[in-house]
Amino acid sequence: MTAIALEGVSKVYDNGLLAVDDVRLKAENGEFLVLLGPSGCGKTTILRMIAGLEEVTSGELWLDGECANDLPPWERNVAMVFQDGALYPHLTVRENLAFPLLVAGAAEKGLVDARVQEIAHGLGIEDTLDRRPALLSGGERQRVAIGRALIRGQPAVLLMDEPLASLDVALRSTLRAEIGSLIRSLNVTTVYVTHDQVEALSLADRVAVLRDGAVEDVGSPARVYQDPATAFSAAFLGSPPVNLAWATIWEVNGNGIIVDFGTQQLELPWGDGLSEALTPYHGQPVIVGIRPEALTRSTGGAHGTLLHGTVSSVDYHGHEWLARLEVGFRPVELDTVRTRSRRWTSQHPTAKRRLRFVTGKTQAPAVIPKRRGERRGEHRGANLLIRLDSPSGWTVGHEFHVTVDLPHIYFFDADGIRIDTNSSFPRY
Amino acid sequence: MNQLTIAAVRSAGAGRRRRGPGQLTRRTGFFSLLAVFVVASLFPFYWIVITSLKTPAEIAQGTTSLLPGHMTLSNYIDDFTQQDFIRPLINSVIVSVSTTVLTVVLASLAGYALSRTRIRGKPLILGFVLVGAFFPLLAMVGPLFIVYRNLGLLNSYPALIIACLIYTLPLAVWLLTNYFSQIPRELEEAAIVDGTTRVQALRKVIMPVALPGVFTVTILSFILVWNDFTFALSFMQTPDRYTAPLAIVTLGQSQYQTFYNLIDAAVVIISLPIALIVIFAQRRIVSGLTAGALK
Amino acid sequence: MTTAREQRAAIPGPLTRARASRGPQRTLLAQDRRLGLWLVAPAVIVLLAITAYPLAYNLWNSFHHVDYLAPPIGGFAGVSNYANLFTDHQFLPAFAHTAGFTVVSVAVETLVGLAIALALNKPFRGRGVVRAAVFIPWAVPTVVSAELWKTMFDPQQGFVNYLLTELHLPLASTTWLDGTWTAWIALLIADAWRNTPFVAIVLLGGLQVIPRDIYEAAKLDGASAWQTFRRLTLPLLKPALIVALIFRTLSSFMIFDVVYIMTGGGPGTSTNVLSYLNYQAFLTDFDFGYGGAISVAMIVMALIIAAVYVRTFRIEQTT
Repeated sequence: MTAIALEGVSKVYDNGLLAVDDVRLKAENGEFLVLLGPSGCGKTTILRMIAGLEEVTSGELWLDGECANDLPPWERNVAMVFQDGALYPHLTVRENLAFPLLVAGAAEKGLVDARVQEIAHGLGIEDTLDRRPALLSGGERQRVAIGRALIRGQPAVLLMDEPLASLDVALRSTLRAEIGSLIRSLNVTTVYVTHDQVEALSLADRVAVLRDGAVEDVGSPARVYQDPATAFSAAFLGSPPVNLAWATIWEVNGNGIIVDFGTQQLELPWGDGLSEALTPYHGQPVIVGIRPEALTRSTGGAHGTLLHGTVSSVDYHGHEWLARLEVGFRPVELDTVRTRSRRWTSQHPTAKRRLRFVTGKTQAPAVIPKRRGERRGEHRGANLLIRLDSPSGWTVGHEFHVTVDLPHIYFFDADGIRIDTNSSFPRY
Repeated sequence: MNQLTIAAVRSAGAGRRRRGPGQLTRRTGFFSLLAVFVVASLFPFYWIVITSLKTPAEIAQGTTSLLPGHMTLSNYIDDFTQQDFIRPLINSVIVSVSTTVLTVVLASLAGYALSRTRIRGKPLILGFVLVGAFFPLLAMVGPLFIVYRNLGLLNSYPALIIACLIYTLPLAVWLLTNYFSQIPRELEEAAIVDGTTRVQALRKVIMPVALPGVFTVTILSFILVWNDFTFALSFMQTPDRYTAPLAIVTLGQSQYQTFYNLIDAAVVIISLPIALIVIFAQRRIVSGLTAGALK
Repeated sequence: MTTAREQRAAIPGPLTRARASRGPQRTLLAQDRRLGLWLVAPAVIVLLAITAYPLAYNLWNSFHHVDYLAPPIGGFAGVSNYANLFTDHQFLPAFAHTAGFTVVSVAVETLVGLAIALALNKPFRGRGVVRAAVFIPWAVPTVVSAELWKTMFDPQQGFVNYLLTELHLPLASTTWLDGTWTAWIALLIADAWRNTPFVAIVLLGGLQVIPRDIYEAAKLDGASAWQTFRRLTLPLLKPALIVALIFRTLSSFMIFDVVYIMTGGGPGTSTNVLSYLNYQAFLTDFDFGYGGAISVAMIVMALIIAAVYVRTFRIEQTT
C-alpha cells in the first residue's frame, strides 16, 4: 500500500514563484525516499506540503490512501525532524520529549516518564535529559529532535529536513549511519531531504533528484547513479563529477556511429542497442557523459575508443589520484540546458489570487538560502577528469591516451534527456 | 508503553479542523481587532483637530458633534499672534537640540569606553547608568532649584538642558554601548595599525560605521526632551522662556473658562512634527527601543 | 638598551599590574584603561551631578528644617520630617493612591500591550502603517495626552459624554474630573493610552526573537493555539515582559504630568500622588525639609522596585 502519493502536485507562492511544478511521486510503506537537489529545487517545499505546513496549490496529496490536502498537520499521522532541531529552548530535554504527550493530554505522569526514558535510552541521550538545548552539541540536539518526533509512537510517515546540514563534517557521517540504522530498525516510511548526494546514495531505498521544482530522475541509488535519466542527474550524483561535453553524432552507413567532439572522435560499433538509439540523431548535437571511472590509462586497444590529451594537473587525494587532461572538448553549461522559467506562472490568474488573500489562503514565500560549496551540476572547462591508482608516468604537460569504457558512457539530447537507456522515462 | 495508549494519544489531537467557515470569521475578527487598536490610538487626535477648528462661538455654545459645524483656522492664527506660541516652540527647539547634541557626544564617548576599552568596574558603571533611568524626577527638582537659584541659572536654557540630560543620557549610553560592542574590532585595529590614535579611530572609523545607531539615539533623545514638562514647569519662571509643553498648559489656565479650541490648536501644532518623525523613522525608533530594552 | 625590568613592564600580565601600580603607567593595558576612564568620565560626572548630588542634598535637608516660607527655623530636625510623613494625612493617602494606580495601570497596559503585540506579530498587508499609527501616542508629549483627554472628558465639549449620550448609556453627564473615582478613570485612560504602545513595542520585540520553527514543530506535535501560547510563547516572552514591567511600573509610580494638568491632585486631594505631593512641598510650600524626606522616600521605593525586578530578571536568565 502506498504510504504517500503526490499526483500532479504544484505549489505557487503569492509572488508568482512556481516552487513545485506538477510533481508525481510515490513512497511505499516502509520505504526510505530521499529528495535530493540543489537549493531552491523545491524539495523542502514538497516535504512541508506532506507535513501540512504548506498548502498544496493544485494536485492531490494522498496519505495512506486518503486525500490529505485539507488535513491540518496534527491530523496527519506524520512526524518531522527540522533542520536545526526546532527544540523548545526554554524546556529541558526531558520536557521537550514529553511535550507532544503532555499536549495531547496524556495524564499519567508515570507513563510519560517511562516513555521519555525509553526513547532517550534508545537514542543514547539519557545523560542530557535535564539539560537545556543550548547546552547540547549539534548531534545531541538532532537526536532529541528525532526522539520528540517518535515519542508518540510510530508515525505513518517520518519527515526529515536536512537534519545533518548544520553539523560538522566529521559528525555527519557518524550520525548519518546512526540515522540509517535507526530508521531501518523502525521500518517507518521516511522522506528525507538533502542536498548532499553522498547522504542520498548511502541512505535511500529510492532517490528522487529534483531541479527547479520538478523531478529529474527517480529510482534506486544504484539505478540513478549508473543509469541517469538526465544530464543534470548524472552531474549531480557522483564524486568526482561526471565529465560532460557536447558532441555531434554521425552515422556511417551501416558501419558504426561516430561521436565527434570537434577535436577528437569516438567510434561506436554498429549493431547494438546503442547505435540504434543514436541513429536518429545523425548530424545533431548531443551531450556525452563519461564518468571518471569509465576512463582508464591506455595500454593500447581499439583505436575508436581512445582519447588523448595533455595532462594539466595531477592531484593527490589520499586513496587515489585525480588527473586532468586537456582534450579541447566543448563543455556543457548545465544551467542553460532545459531551464524552465519559474516566474509569473499563468496557472493562477490574478483574480483567483486576490480571492485567496481575502479568504486567507495565502502564505509568505519561502526564502531560499544559497549554500556554500553546493554542487549545482556544473561542469567547467574542457578537461577530462580521470581517476588513477598511481600517477606513475603521468606528468604535467605531457600527452597521454585514455581508453573509454564504451558501455559506461551516457548520451543525452540537447535538452539533457537520456537517449541510450533501456528504462522508460519519465520515471515514477 | 501500551500501544493502545499511544494510539489514543495520537488521536487526541484530531477534531481541530483548520479550514472551513471558521477561517473567514477568524480573519474578520482579527482585522476588527486591529481596527479597534488603530481607532483607539488615532481617534483622539481626530477629535482634537476637530475641536481646534471650531470657532469660539461654537465652543461657547457647548455643542458637540463628530463633524465641526464651521471650520476655521482662527485658533491657529490666534495661537501664533495673540498667544505668541512661536516663542515657546523656539525655546523647545533650542533646548531639545542642545540636549540631544550633548547627549550624543557624551554617550558616544562613554559607549565607546564601555564597549571597547578594558576599564575596571564596567558592570558598576553600567548599573549606575541604568539607575539613572529609574530616578524619580521630582526628587531632583528641589535641590536643582536651589542650586540654580544660587547660581542665577533659574529661567535659563542651561538649567533645562542639564536637567533634561536625565531623560536621555542613561538610555543613550545603554543603547550606544550595545551598538558599539557589535562593531568588529578589526575596523579600528586596522586604523590603529595605520597610525591613528584611539580617539582618531573613534572619530573617523567607528562613528561613521555607527551612524545608524547614533541616528536612532538622536531621534529618541530629541523626542524625550521635547516632551519634558516637569523641569520646564519647575525651572522656567517667565512666559518668554516657557517651552512648548509648558506653554500649552498655561494657555489653557490663564483664562477663567478654558478655551479648548486654542489649546487643541497648540496641541496639534506641537504634535505634528513628532508624528511626522515617528512615521518616517518608526523602524529606527522601534528597533532602538527593543534593542535597548532586551539587552 | 632596556633593562630587564623595563622589558617586563612592557608586557601586560598579572606581574605587570603589580609593578605598574608602582612604576610609570606605560603598559598598554594601563593606557587603555586610562583612555576609557577619560572617555566615560564626562557622562558619569553629569549623571552623578544630577542624581547623586540631589540625593545627597535631599538627604541632608530631610534631617533639617529648611523652610523658605515660614520664619526661618533652621537647625537640626532629627527625624521629625520623616515622622510627619506618617502623621500628616497626606503622604500615606498619596502613597496608597500611587500604589493602586500603578498596579491597575500596569496591569491594563500589559494586557492590552500584549494583545497589540500578538496582533502585530502576524504579517499582513499594511502592518507598518498600523504599527506607526499605534505608536504615535507614545511619541507625543504627556502634556498632549493630558490636554487631549482633558478635552475628551470635558462635560460639554468632550467626546466621552457625547458618545455616552448618543448611545444612551449612563454616566453621560458626569463631570469626570470633578468626581472622586471618575477622575481616576480619566487619569488611567490618559496614562494608558499614551504608554501602552511602549509595552506593545517591547513585547513585539520579544515575540520576534522567538524562532519560527518551534511553532511549526508544535503544530506537528499537536499543540492547540492556546497550548502553544501558554507553554511556548509566554515563557519565551518572560525577558521582554520583565523589561516592559520595570519601565512601566517605575514610570507609573512617578506619574506627575497628567495629574498636574488634569486634576491638580483634586478634587481636594483625592487624586494626589507622591510626585505631586513632592512638587507641592518644593515649589508651592517651599518646605525643602519635608520635600527632601518625600524625595528620599521615593528614591528608596524606586530602588526597591528596580531591585526586585532586576533580581527576577537575573533568576530568569540563569534558569
